[in-house]
Amino acid sequence: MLSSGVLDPQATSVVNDEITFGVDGLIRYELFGHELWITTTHISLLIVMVVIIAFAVVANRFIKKADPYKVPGKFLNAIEYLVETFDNLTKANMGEKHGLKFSNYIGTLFIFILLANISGLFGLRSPTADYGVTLALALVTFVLIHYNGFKYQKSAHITNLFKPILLTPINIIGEIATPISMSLRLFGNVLSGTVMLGLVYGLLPKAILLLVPAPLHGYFDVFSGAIQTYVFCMLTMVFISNTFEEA
Amino acid sequence: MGNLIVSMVNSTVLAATKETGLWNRIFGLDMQLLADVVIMGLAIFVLFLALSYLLFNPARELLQKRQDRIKEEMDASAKDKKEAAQLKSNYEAKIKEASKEVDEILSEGRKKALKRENEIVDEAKMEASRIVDRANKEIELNKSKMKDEVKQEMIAVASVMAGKIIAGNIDESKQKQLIDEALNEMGDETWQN
Repeated sequence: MLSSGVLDPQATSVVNDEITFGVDGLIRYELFGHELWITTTHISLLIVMVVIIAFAVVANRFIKKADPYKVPGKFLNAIEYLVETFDNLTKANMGEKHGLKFSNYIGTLFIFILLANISGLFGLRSPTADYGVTLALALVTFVLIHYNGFKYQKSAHITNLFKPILLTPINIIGEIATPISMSLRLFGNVLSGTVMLGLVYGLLPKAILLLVPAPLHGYFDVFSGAIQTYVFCMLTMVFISNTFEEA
Repeated sequence: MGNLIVSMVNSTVLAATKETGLWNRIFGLDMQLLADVVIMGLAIFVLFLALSYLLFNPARELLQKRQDRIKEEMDASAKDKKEAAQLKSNYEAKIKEASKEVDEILSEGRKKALKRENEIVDEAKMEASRIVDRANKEIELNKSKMKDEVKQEMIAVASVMAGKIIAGNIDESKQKQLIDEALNEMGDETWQN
């Protein structure tokens, strides 16, 4: 974590000596002659992944033990509800024919982004407040859009860019803008929450901190986090399903 | 306030980088970003595989199994219901047949009983008429017997009486006439009464 007590003299009287919202480098390594860092994002990412995979392993145990001839327990019900929700969501947005193929990816994306966004509640720096994470997610969506575009529309996927010919530059920019806008939207929203909370934690006296951050966490981490998760997944589904329609 | 925050943010980031020697940033388009993207790409791929293998696919299989089982059970119960309806109609038909048979048996029994009754009655009538005939014959026999006896007695009495009268004043022809008259008067009607 970033620690700093070096601020202008006026500020130091009200500011705690910890204001944390940047990505910190923890371990330095070199790759192809470049200086790179293992950062707090990677640690948070690892923790989030471990939690998700641990959940999946426990769920897997329950599913393996479950007897389809018996009434399922509460946990199993919750798992089934989760999976069915993703199935229904993808089917509703991408159609009965193609929806189910993307259910696993959309489910993974949803669980990961949601947990990453609310990880601020547990004292982690949200991995999604790092552009490297959101850009990667948006690029996966970008690849999926164009893979399915070529798969279902063949060459029309390219020729559609030139229709009408006058709008060609805008069409091309629009395609390139998709991953950038998606990644920046998620990054910006989560980062703003992280910065706001970092400032609140840094600026306010410790006694007040017992009360003030709770509603802010509720808004920035939970509410905004959930909304952005939903938006990201929705956009991914809509952009991909657009490639089926024009086939 | 806004300026204060901005200056604090700037100075914090810069100061930390300079003073502690640690690497710190919020955003940057460089090799670090590329490395982060690659790492995150791998991470989401691993996560996708793990969740698909551990969570989504088995859960979907389980749901499918349960769906199949419920469908199976519904089909089986529909089949059972159909069979039960079939059995019911069979039994109802059988019961109808059985009651028809019972009716037949009963009516046959009644007919037989009626016939037997008539036979018995006829026999009884015949027997009765036989008895009556026999009784009549016996009565006739006894009547004629009694007639003869009475006749004899009368004759005897009349003879005695006549003897006595004749002994007085009447001749033989007169005697005979008297006897016949007496006998005729005490004819059949007298006896039968």
